[in-house]
Amino acid sequence: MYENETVLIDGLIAKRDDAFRYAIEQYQGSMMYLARSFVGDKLADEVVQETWCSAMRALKGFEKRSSLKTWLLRIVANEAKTRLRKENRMTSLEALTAADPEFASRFDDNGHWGAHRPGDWRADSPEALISSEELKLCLDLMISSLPDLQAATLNLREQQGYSLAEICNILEVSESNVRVLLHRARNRLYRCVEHFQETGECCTQ
Amino acid sequence: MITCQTLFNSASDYVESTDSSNPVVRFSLKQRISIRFHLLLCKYCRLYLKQIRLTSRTASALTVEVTPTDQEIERLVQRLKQLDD
Repeated sequence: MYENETVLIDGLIAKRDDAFRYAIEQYQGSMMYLARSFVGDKLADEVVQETWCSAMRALKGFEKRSSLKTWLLRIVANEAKTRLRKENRMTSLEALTAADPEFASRFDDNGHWGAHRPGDWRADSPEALISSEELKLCLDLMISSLPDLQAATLNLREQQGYSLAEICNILEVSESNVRVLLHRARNRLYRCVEHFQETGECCTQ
Repeated sequence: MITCQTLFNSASDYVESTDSSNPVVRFSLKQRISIRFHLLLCKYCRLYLKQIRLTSRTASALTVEVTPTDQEIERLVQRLKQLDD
């Protein structure tokens, strides 16, 4: 019966055990995954616990302009941002969306690829790429070291399959900024794969 | 004609507009023609676009399953039940 969101919300407001259990089973995984990408493994649990508590307190005022899951993820993102700001660890949006100087230097004055241009990769599928355990570990490391909003955008888009519009809503960032954040995050990973293809070594800088 | 750098800057958006079933990012006909034309002539941009697509799919392939344990669920249920209004 809790597949119906209105029934679920009523159950949560009435503090029914089975409603809590259902909601946690449905949403906790996704909330935790987003929180980990945002604040790292250590703090994620605390952020998600806080989210549940503040969400349950605010539930009566939930206006259903988005799904319950999107609303919860938005609170996760807010809790994570608050936490990072408190610890002075939040990267400014300007820094996260600024052009990557490493890539900018790859083009000549006419905007053509210069000496460091795309070369062949010895793999043409994700499976083939990550069949190298070393590269797989390197990419995992790279993904976990991406800064907050870049990491969260990549997580929501590539790993949780959210649309750009939903990501704007969850992260409270404009659509054009979400697009740039995604572009930057993908290019950080691109450089990581490229460096590994060229040298056989992991570089997450 | 657009430059490689311009194509590079819109590559991620281009991937979104062509690969997503419900794209938010849409390019005008004129923009799509300029990109296609550039790709036809520039093998490095063709390669870059193919590789950025592959990078994006690889990020998806690295998805891990995050599931709470029964114990974690129960602990959270108890905590939420005891919340004051």
